Amino acid sequence: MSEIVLTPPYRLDSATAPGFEATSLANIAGSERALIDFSAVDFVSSAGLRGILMVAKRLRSKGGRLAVCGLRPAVAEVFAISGFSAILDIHPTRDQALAALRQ
Amino acid sequence: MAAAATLKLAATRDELTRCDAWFQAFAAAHALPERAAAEVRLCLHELAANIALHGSATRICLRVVLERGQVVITIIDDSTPFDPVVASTAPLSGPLEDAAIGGLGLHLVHRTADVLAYRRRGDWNEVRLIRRLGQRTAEASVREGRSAGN
Repeated sequence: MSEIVLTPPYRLDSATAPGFEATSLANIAGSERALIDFSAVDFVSSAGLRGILMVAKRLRSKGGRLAVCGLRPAVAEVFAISGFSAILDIHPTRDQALAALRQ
Repeated sequence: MAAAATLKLAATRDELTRCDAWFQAFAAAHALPERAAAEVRLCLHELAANIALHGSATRICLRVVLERGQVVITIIDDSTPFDPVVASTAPLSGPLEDAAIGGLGLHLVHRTADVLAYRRRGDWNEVRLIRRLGQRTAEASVREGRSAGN
């Protein structure tokens, strides 16, 4: 089974996170492994983090896995401060994240 | 010489994008350091989103001032009293299954602002946030902010 790759919008904030969360949950409905690629994401707020957490929880609840990759420095800082760095599987590149998901 | 800009918003979700664009334009026009600009941008979004999405506010007034090596943001809204300085906050912790996400936005603000102060002025909430542009110590000053009530 292949992985679902999710690409959040350039700004993942209170304005865009609800749409991202709904689309992502629909996209992973038939999958157990997903990757969120942040390489085109400039900004993530707590609302965006909430959407990411919902995706992670949904996958975990059915025994699946989530990996994330491509965090720009400002986004990586938000992940670190929020505690997300400690609970998510974070990789520098998409290839590395996909390799980890396929192990 | 100080540089300043102001913006008035309706307290709605759609206006948050305009708020973000306004600050981004200010940061670019005054060549704010990248990390400081990103942190102020985050704080501004979190505070404005709290007001627009969770409070009873109808209007939000924003002011940004760049002076003496620091960015000062003032946010005024007409919601019922809400003090983001003393509101409870928390990072995520524990296993993923149990992770809850209340108070995360203000946690980000408390961790990245150098000073955060609140006061009630008549029918308005006024929040002032300061981010210094120079180097700072690891113990940045949520504590200082907590005591800076005036």
